[in-house]
Amino acid sequence: MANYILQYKGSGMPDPQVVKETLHICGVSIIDGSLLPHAALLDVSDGELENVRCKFEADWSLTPEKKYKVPDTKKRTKE
Amino acid sequence: MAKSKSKTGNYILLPVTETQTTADTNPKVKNFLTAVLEPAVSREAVSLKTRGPEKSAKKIPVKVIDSIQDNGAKLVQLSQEELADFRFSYPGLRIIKEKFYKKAQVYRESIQQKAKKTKTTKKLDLTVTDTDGNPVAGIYIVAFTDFESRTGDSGNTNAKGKLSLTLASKNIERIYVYPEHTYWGYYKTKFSATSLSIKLQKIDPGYTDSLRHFYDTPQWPKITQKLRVGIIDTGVGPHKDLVVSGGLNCVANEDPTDFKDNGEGHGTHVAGIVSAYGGVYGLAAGVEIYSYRVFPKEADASNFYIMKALAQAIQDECDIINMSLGESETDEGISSYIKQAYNAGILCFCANGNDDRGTVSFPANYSLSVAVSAMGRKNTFPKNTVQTGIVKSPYGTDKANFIADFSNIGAETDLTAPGVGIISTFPDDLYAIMDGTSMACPAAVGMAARLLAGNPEIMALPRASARADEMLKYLSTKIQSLGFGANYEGKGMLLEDK
Repeated sequence: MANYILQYKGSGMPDPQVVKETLHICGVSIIDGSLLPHAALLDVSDGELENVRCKFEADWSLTPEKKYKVPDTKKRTKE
Repeated sequence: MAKSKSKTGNYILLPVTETQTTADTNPKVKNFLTAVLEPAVSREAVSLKTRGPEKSAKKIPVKVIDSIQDNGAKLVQLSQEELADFRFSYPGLRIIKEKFYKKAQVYRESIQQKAKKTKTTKKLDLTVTDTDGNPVAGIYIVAFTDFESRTGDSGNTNAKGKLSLTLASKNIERIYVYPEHTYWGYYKTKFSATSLSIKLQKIDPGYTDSLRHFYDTPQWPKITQKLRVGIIDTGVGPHKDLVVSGGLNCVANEDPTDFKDNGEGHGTHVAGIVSAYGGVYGLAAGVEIYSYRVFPKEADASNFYIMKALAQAIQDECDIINMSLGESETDEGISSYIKQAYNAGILCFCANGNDDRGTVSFPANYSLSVAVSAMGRKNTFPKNTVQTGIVKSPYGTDKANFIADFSNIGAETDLTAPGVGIISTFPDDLYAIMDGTSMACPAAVGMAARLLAGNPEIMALPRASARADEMLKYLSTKIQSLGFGANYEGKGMLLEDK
């Protein structure tokens, strides 16, 4: 399982109920739905990934969650 | 494959928007991926004709090494010299140089492995105290016997202010001492020792650091106009010098109303540079600070939390957003919200990044962000502090000014601002010295806020992209070059009219 961000790329407002139902059908759990219906943080298994992509089609992107570090300028040793 | 005199490289070809072609993809691109390149996988090189007059047309040999899907990514090998020809002849594709990633290793393990390999036996025993001789615990120290290869050891002082480092030699090339707060750091080069006692100098909040050299903030009046600055960071406060008017904790499974600092202090330091008033003075005291916490304690921030913070800052009608964070790779999700902010009349200022003169990080390198590099000034920090090791050319028209050695640079840079040896607020009413484009960014934000507060006509414009355009245009009239060159300073530094 990994976290993915589902984001709407189309114009206008997607139907939140349809989005939730589609995710339910795909068997995907929503980690954070606060940006729905435009975006959501999802927990998706490798097996479900292609299914989610197919169900949401071209107006949507599904990209892996990325991480940002607190920046600093400390020098560090390395291998 | 036809022999080429120039070096070849491996490149990944992708459709412009997705990883596979879609119904919206140019049919020529779709045909190129599926009908031209796909059948050529693992075969001899295909010969592709360049675009242009028939007379000058030539063939580019391209070897298709691998494919992910019929209508998806292709890994190809072609000459670096012919890459530009290929780009113009076959538009509609993203061309990404193949990269290789190392297995991520836990830092401590890698140091232990290094220690075994080099059979390190020399000890450096360190004692850290304040100027009264009291031990100082929890101070991070790193010593290098070879700085170029970053060979050395590091750790934190214990309750007695002591730390023992294991090194390959007693000849130390550099040692850096980084207190989290309360004290200036310490820096020493080229010495031989098996023990060292270090006395840390306490921060005087009234000291004229590089920020206050350029901006006489203690003398500036509070801003009375309504202007809202969003800080997307580790959270802000509590601190007696700061007022936080609102915000949101965007981290999943944390209390959304807890947007104070997660304890790391980064966001509190950033906010103090903008708006502190009391012990230290920020550039725009009086503006409303909204804190959007995206960093869980001692963990990384998700791009989703950052998207959420931007969405909330737009909803809260911030005027400027400070993003003292970044990574090397672009992120479409974050870009789309920065664009949305711009279209809502909000400017996003972003730190260039601290990768020792690396390329400008994302989101600073996004076209609608205001990218800020860090500069410093000699004699605005005590001798033997960490900041003495940050001085590096280029120097400005005034030779005391320099671009920080850590600051990322590049054509995307819009502004420079002080980011070396900056005194600001730290949670629980403490003060800290920090360096970074993270500090330069709020310095630019604070000055921008002060300048914009003096132009109510622009701030009263409807919240649309035209408002952001006008804000930028107005600010551009207040920028002065310091003589570093555009690659380092963009247009220069925001300064008061003389």
